[in-house]
Amino acid sequence: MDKLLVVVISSVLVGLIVWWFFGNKHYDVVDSVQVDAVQTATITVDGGYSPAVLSLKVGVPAEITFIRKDPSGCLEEIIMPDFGVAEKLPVNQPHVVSITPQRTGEFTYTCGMRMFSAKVRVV
Amino acid sequence: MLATLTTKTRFTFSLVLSLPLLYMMTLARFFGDLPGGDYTSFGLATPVLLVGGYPFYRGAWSAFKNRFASMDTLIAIGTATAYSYSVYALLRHLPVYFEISALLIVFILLGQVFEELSKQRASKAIEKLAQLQAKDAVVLRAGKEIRVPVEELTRDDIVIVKPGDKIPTDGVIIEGSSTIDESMVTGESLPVSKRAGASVIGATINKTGSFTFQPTNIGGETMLAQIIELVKRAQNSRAPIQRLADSVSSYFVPCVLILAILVFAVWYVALGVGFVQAMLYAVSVIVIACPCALGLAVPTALMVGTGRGAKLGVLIKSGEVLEAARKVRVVLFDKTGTITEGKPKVTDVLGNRAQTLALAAALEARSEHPLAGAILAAAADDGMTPQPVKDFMAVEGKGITGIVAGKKTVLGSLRFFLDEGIDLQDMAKPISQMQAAGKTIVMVGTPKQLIGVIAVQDSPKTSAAGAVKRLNQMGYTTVMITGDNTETARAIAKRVGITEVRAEVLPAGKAAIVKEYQVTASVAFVGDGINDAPALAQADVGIAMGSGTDVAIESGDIVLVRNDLGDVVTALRLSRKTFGRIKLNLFWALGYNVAGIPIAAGVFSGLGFTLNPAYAGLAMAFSSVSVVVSSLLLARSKV
Repeated sequence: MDKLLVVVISSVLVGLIVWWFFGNKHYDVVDSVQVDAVQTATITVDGGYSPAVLSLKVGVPAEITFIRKDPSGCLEEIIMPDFGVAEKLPVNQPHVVSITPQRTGEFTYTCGMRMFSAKVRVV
Repeated sequence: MLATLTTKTRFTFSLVLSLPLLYMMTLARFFGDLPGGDYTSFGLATPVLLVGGYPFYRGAWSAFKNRFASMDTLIAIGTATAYSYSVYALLRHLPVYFEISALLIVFILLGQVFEELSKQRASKAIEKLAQLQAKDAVVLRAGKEIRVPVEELTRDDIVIVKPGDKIPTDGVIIEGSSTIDESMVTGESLPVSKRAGASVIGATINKTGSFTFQPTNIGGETMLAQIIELVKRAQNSRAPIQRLADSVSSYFVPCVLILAILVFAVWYVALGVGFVQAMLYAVSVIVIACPCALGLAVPTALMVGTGRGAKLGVLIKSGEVLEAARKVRVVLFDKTGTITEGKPKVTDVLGNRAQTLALAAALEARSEHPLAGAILAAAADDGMTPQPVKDFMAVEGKGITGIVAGKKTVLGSLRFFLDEGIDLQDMAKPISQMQAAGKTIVMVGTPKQLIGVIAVQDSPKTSAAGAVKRLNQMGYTTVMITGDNTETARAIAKRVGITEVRAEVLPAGKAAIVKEYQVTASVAFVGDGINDAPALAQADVGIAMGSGTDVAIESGDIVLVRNDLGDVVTALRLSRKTFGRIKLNLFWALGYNVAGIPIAAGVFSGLGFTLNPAYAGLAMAFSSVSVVVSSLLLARSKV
């Protein structure tokens, strides 16, 4: 009886894992706000990056403020290979990353170990 | 409070509380349990999980809410499973496993502490470069010497440099002379002599003399600032080989969780072991599968490799370059300024020297051709000043025409004159002799008649022959490309040991030749960053070289700061080595997971070969450390 129970619970757990992690995720897309010649945006770092997609305008200097709420070492570093950015994010302190997107497209950025990722969409 | 502790503090706290637990796990069977038995274990393990494990649980929960699974997820589930079962077992008076959950946290924190230390060492290169920057400068303002911070320097300042001073920024010497130690920026070990008109590099050290100079680059434009920026970008770039690891990592953790559930179910249901043993196998799988080492394999090697390069004056721009450089089989060299010094001198003048030089100097005064400088210098040495020219016209790659003292004058290559049908008279023989000696021929005449011939020679760099020899020994095919005629080119090529020569190539044709070679092999092109930009871009690996501030840092995939061809060998070797290290690291990290998971899952338990979850944690922690150490060793390997 308990073996049957283990089989049932295991199957349900596997199903839940597949659904939760591999199922269709909803990505929130947020546009930057342009003030004078600079566009700004804020990204919350907590178990990932929110918003997951940040939309920026090409050629306009951008100041992205990262607020890391998650103390996990996994999210300590932020790497934006396409913009030459690799910076450490302090916990609970806003940290501004300045970039100027030079070409349009979608650019993925990640945590230091490349486990968490989010995108910058340049239009 | 819990959120703000450092990894080191968490580790120390957890270690102190876990030592008695380690005793319980290993020595208690010989010397007896601690007072309080399992309740003491519970009392010790709980704060370890709360304080030491906080970041993992917090991270895992936040990630879970965002439908992500990370390293934290694995650690959190692994430790929480062992802990929760132990609480249940404590209440039911069954054997407990508190020590496993606590020691797992200790070992993983230990790995993180080591990793932080090694990563700090790996990223030292940039820090060291940044520290080179001078803090202040002595400038002459309103006739007075005053000290100002470098940030306040302007291009109009006159900067005073005394013996032993650090040169505050890039510039050109106005007055005075000195020897300068540029090793910190260019890697050049011998001090370089400089006098008025020469350029100086910020952050280098003035040795003997005093001089004044005018800044040319300030702030972020200086060579040092550009090098730092470039190295920073390279260190954070991706190597294409990493794409696999990148795409795998987001699926990896959920797959491990599924695998652990299956391991548990198979052991418990199909193989009939007890609940506890099946659970321990599942926890071991979760712990050993942490892909830390995989995540560190590429970035740490890139960081050390490119940092090492910067120290040697070899700037590698990205991880992609490393991979491309590994495949290179053919190295194409531009001749002027790359194989040769790029400072041609007039060696012979045939015909009437005064007339020939005067006409040539008049036309060359308007030209931008590399040989113009040599002819103008020879004319100046003879006390001539160039006459004015009218109707100046350049025929690209061939020559120039213009009206000097009312007469149409032609200056150009032998081919130009032959194309124009101008008779060489009795000069044909000496011309071919001079060409055989590696001299470049400049013909001067009217549209109908040859007036004189100037021979110019540009000697090969002292480092050229040695570098070519080593490249040939390493199995590369070396080729020289030049606009010079075949005979001159062959003579130079022979002196440096290159057997394949492509001569009489127009500037625009270099990229086409690179393309031609690319049909059969991967090609590196070595040239100066300014004139050879199209060929550098076309090549699989463009190696731009120059000297000091003249380096065009933006061009090429690899930039050689010194004007030394030996660095081409260093660049290719370092690329090969760094890429080799990346591959080794990935192999090690992947192999570790591939081999570790079956052991943890109890596949070899029939042979008495199993892995307790705490030791799985220790092994996992050290796999990360070993990858970082492997990358650090790159800094010591011979290039």
